Amino acid sequence: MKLTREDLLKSNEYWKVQLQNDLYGIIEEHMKKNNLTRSNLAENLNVTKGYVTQILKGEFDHKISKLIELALACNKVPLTYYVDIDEFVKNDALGKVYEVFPITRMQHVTYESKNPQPQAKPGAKISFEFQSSLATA
Amino acid sequence: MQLNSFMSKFVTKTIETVIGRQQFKQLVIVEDKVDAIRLQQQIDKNEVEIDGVLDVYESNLEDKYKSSFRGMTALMNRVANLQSLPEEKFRDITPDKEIVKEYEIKYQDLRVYLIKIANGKLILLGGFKNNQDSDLKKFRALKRQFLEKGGY
Repeated sequence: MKLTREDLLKSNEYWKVQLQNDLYGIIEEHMKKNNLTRSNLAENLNVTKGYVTQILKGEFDHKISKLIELALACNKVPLTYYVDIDEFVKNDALGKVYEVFPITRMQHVTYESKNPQPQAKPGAKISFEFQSSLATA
Repeated sequence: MQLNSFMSKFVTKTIETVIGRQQFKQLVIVEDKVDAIRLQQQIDKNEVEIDGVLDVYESNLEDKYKSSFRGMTALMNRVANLQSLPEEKFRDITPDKEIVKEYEIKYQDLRVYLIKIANGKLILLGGFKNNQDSDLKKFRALKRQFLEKGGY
């Protein structure tokens, strides 16, 4: 059976290729920017040159802790977010892509009711009615 | 059935599993008697279903290569979106003095050979790691014929 776009987006291989080559991209960029050789990078990261070569072939397949270490060494944070797979496929079909961008953190949120309750007069008694399933049982 | 490309005409078809900033197409080889211009219009309007070289390559793959084919298609998506890829995965294989650019995408044992076209890439051949020399010869012969016949 022929591979469909949905099968592809739901495949392990698709996401592995994305993660491996995004990592390759940031490391390559970091090396160019800082004029580093593979040996320099291996030394900075305290890994072997062969390890660096593997990453630069887009074939990183190691521990999460190493992925974080590599990202941080390139002055990047490895932002990870998870999206519902069917929603992702649906949006892909609509031509929508996902981007990461910063938004302002919410602070001291005040909720205002759309249906304000009448204010009690000073000194007035306020009574509450409770309904409980225990009371009627 | 793979037609002999010397006695054939060429049309192109969009690869539906690859979506990006660049168009990604595959070559479709048809018999010489076919009205290629009309067929191309029908393909573009989704009025006919016809297999291209990548479709034929995929359907002839043994089950053990299906996972690699998904990886290969993921790489094509990165190429189409102009995303970073190492030379080991996507490389320019254009010989000196060739005007139209040639590329190879590789994933594990699978290879795909493509050329640059206006607004994107066109896959001419799918191949294997252990058959690179012969696949490259076929690819360059197909490229020459495709360019000589002007696509249609």
